[in-house]
Amino acid sequence: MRCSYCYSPPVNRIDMTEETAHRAVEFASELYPANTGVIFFGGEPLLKLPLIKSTIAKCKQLERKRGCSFHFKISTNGLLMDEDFLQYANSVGLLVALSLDGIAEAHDKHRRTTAGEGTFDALLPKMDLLLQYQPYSNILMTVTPETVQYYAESVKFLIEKGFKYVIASLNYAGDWTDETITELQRQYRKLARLYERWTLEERKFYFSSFETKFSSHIRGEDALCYRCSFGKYQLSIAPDGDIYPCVQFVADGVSNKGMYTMGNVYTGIDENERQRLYNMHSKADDACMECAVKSRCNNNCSCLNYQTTGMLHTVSPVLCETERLLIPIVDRLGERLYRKRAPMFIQKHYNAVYPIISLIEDRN
Amino acid sequence: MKVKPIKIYTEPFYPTREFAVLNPELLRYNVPAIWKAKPLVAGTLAAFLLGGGIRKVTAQETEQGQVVESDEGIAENEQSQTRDKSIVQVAPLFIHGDGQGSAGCIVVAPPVFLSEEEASVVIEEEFKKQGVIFDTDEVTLDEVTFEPDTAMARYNWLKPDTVEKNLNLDGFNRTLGLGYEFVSHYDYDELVTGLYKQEGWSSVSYFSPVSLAGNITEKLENCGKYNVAIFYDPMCRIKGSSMNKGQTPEEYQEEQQALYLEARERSIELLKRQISDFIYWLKKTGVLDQAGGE
Repeated sequence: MRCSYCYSPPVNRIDMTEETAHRAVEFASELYPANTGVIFFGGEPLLKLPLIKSTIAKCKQLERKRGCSFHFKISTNGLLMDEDFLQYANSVGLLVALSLDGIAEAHDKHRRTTAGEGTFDALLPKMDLLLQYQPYSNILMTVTPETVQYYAESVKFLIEKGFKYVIASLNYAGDWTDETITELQRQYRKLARLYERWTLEERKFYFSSFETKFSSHIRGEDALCYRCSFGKYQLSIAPDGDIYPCVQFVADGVSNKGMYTMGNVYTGIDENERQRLYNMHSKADDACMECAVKSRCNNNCSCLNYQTTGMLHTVSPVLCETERLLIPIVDRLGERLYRKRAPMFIQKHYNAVYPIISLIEDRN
Repeated sequence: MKVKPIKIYTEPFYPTREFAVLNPELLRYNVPAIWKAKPLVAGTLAAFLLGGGIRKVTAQETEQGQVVESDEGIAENEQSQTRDKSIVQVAPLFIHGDGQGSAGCIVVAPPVFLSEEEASVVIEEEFKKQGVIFDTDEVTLDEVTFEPDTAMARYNWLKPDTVEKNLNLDGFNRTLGLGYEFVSHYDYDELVTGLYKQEGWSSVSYFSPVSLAGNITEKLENCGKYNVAIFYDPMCRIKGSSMNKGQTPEEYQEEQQALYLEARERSIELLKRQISDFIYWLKKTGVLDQAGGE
């Protein structure tokens, strides 16, 4: 595929060797043996399925030998996803996240093959297959200025299709204008009405853009622990084994050696470098310091800042603009749902054991 | 477009989670209809809200650290100092520790799981102090069976397996006719989730040894043939901590290891309290008189 918004287009590509992949999981499990998450990303990781299988087999071997514990996720464009793969994924506990931008008009705008053809039609049967095998799989959805008009319709399509988790991200690096920002606001309002209706109908779903904002008010600082913290809880490994604080810094196939490399899986983390990067990340944008909603905003995502402004702590005006319009819409929605004492809203956001009860409900 | 800080923002009129902690009726009175329609879900929610599962016994710490029982089972047996061997009395489940929790990808504070072997060492050591040695672990209770619920068949990703499973005791004393079973997360995997062939998959696993222990106690009561102590893994949670500024990965790992060991110690302590309650109950029912003891 050649997605037009790709932040890491395929140039000078090299592949990760089996030896490096095995060393990477060994290295990661030494850092946090109790619960090491391994996420396979690309490019398109399913192009390298034998390497994935071999890496997971290595993890299983480490679990037996050292008593450590792994869990696995993969982000895929879905084109190579078939029944054999999903059977394998379920057998080893590999959670599949599918990149899908919503309805055909939105998806085919950017997610095309090398020949320039849209991929929505090819994915349609794969969605059903994925849901059959993994009812809790995530949809990774990107919204751009060119597709923003389909945002609400796309989320509606995905939820009605049966997906429970829709992780939506804006392409902040896109060419946003006052008109498309106004359209985004209109879409958020539509989505708020849909969210309200589904919640009152007691449907269970997770729509990331709204859930994270509810959480930032309801859970306050506790919600912050789910953030990646730029190289503290999540590391990205390049094909040559170099370590980066986020996937955004790993150019496809080539290690983006330079000021964001913080070590190598063979030599370990360069602690000074990690601290230097963390200090850069922790430094807030001066303009944000006086903002009343700074703790609820995504301004501290250094990777986004880097992608949009080239600086870790310089916030993109697009991010600021979109966060300023999203937070009040979500808060008014929260107020309406609370005033109506919507049971699913209350349990989902105020009950610490909601995921467990919800799982029991699904299984009974 | 410019970065424009919001100078004043009025706090929204829906509460924070602290409010729900201080006002538990918020969760109690706002339960989705779909949950109320499913007894197991409604029951589990009620158990969570009450702060413990099937609470037949409560135990409190005195200032001296002694466990004081306020136990309906013990109260009923307070009078009977001599034991009629033909009557089998099933001990209530002694609740010390949550005995339930999740592990997996998004779980930030997973519990410590005690293995069957670790728990056996603790349990057998405590009973040894009372002169009770468990001489075999090869006793299977044929009457205590676990079968899948066929109602689950409507879920195409959760298919009941046809295999029926029995309870194998972890220890048994042939002289006293007394056994014990430690319900671990492995048991939950085998006797609850293991009864189904799961085609769907979630990266979070849920375990509730306490509910399985309650289920086993009920089955023993219905069967009325065995004196068996049922204990369960308290599953204390590992306290979460994030890496501090300036902390090296090695220091962070050491801190994580210490938190893990601390949670494990708490679990062992709570398991000892379950045993202590059971031994007290045994003495009241007269079984332990036959064993001698320290």
